[in-house]
Amino acid sequence: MTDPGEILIWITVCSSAITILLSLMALKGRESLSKYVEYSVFVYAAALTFAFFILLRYFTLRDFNVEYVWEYSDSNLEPIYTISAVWAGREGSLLIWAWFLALFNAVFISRSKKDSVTNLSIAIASFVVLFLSSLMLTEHSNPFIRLPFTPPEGYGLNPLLRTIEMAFHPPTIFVGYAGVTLPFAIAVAGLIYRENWIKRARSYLIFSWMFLTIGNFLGAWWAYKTLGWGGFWAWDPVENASLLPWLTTSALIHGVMVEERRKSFKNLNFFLAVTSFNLIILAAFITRSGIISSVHAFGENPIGYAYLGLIGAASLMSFIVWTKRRSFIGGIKFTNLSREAFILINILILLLSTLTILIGTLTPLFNPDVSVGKGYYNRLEIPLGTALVVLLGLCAALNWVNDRKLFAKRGKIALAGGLITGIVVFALFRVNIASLGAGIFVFSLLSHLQDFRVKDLSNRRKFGGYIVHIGIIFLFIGVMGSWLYEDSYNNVGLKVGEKIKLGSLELEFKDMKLFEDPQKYTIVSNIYIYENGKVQGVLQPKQLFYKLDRQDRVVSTVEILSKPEKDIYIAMGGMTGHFEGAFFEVYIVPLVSLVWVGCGLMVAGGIYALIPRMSRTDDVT
Amino acid sequence: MDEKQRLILGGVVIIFVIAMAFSFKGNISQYVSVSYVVEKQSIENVQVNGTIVLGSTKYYPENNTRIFDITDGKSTMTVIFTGTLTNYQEGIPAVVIGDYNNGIFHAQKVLLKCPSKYEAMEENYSGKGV
Repeated sequence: MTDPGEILIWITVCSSAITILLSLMALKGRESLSKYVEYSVFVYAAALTFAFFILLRYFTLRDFNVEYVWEYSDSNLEPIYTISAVWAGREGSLLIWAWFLALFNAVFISRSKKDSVTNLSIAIASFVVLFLSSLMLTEHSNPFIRLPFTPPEGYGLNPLLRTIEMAFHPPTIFVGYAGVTLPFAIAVAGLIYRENWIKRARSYLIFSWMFLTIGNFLGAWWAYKTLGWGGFWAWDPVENASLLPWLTTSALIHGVMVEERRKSFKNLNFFLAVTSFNLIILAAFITRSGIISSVHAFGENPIGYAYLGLIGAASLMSFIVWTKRRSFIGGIKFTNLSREAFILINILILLLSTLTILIGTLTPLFNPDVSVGKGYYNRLEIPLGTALVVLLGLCAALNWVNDRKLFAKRGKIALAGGLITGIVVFALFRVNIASLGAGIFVFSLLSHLQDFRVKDLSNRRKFGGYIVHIGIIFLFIGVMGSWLYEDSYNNVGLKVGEKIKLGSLELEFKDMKLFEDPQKYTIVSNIYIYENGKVQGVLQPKQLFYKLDRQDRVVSTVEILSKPEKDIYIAMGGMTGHFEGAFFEVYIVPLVSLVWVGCGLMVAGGIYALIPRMSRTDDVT
Repeated sequence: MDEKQRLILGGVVIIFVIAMAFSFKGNISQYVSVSYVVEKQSIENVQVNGTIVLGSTKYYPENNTRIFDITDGKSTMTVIFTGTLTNYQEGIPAVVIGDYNNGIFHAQKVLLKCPSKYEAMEENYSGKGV
């Protein structure tokens, strides 16, 4: 018998197809059909909502007869990870992506006036729902497939995914993924009917940008706290995949500001909206097809190529629309040394960054026998990021009226502050790059602080953006500190009771204990950390042995002693003898706390910009 | 955009593309197969693709060292690695980076692939990296 969940996916496929048909007919003059368009969107939104809750129910019932439930959970899994297991795999995450998209479409159609732009936008966005739900009916992506028998126990969720960050990372990323579809659809529809698409698309754009930011941040945090993941950012294809649309949506948010004020950049903004959508689909291709694997690619999911088809179709459609409406779009106009000029350079930097990361990420697709090292990214993205932070400082000093006197005055103060900081840092620590970085950090920060006005607090978008920029400045200095000055000590062997000196730190291995719970065995070691003779703290790195059949059940947890200026990061490897000693990986990561401060500010700024406007002054300034 | 603006923008982009090409060339490295390494008999600083042979792993807790076999279907070689590997598993694809001589591959780094479908291409680095 077909599973009720699968029937709901079929209903989604049908009603999204009907939505497309109805909205196209409404466009051809049968406007009375518009309200049925709305109903059919509600039908697929409801169907996917039920489908999600049915799948969730299977997980909480521990119905291992459902293959997907068997594969990603077991009887002892904690409640929170039993819920997050719903999106732990390809099938379930595809379902929540489609579900979020359906909800976005339902909100959009119920809030918009029923005109041609809305109808065409919803036809395009519903096509994406149709695409995703059709994929869900294929063999490798259907979460509702049942096994011919019921296994007594589940295979179990990968122990590495049992963290709070990994519980929330996928849904936030998928809200972002889903949200970018509407700005793209509205941009294409708006251009066809020669209408201003930005006003309709803006809030969806900022909303999805914020969720992409949170999603990337959670992913980075998880990677940082997971041994073997190369720190918070390792330029892994999976990480790059979700950074790319973040870069282009960031660029679009800026381009949109210029278009609203100066009616320029229309060309560029259309391109950015299309590209952001394409990069989201590309991200799905990269993470789901199993094709871009630096190791021997098996092409795990042949259906993965369908994503490339969707990218091709979206690009072709956009290109045709663009050629037909070129006269409406106009060129890019700006004067030298103006805010628009700075924003254009900013967009250019973000696009160069996108392009270079894209090339590095896709290289294995064209030549499976090579791998692109971290050095490639670091040598290009670090200068680009630095240029961006300098530009932020310059941009904050120059207002929209291009007041050059003010620019010179603010610029001088910021520059002086930056120079002094650079010199002081150099005199104290004798570090070249760090002095330069600190100087740039203070320059940009001072420039921003001078730009602050209390009245801006009521201008949500302006102040939100301001907070985000300060977040980026902090992120910059944090990344610099942690990437350039990290110290690591690998495979440090210690006997219980032994002390060891690592740089300025001293580690003492007090003892080691074994615990058992229904899920796993845990070996906990107690490490006392001393600096300059004083105890800084106690860390308890653990090794977890999950009671699962899977061989990857042994996990080393990472324990971190966080201080403002540095993190002391320890993981436990193998144990020797009978609780006699153990091996540890020790990392000392300077300034990494500022990475999290920066990320936190970026998210906070995004949230602030989205709070519904409270006063009329809320406009682009 | 006027002529001058275009010229400046174009110039910046061209300079950047040149920098990119150099950076790309300097940081790209070739994967080789197990058969290739075994045939060479002695080779330094290579990254090798293969699958960890089921049941081949021996773990020596006294120095946190693993010895396991890796294969490409045609040839098999023995790899020795000292260090912590979280989530270790046999039968999955892996990349080992290091030197091969006297029939043993001394790995400085082992990258493990997650076998689950969703994580088909996620990588496990042997260290936290720089």
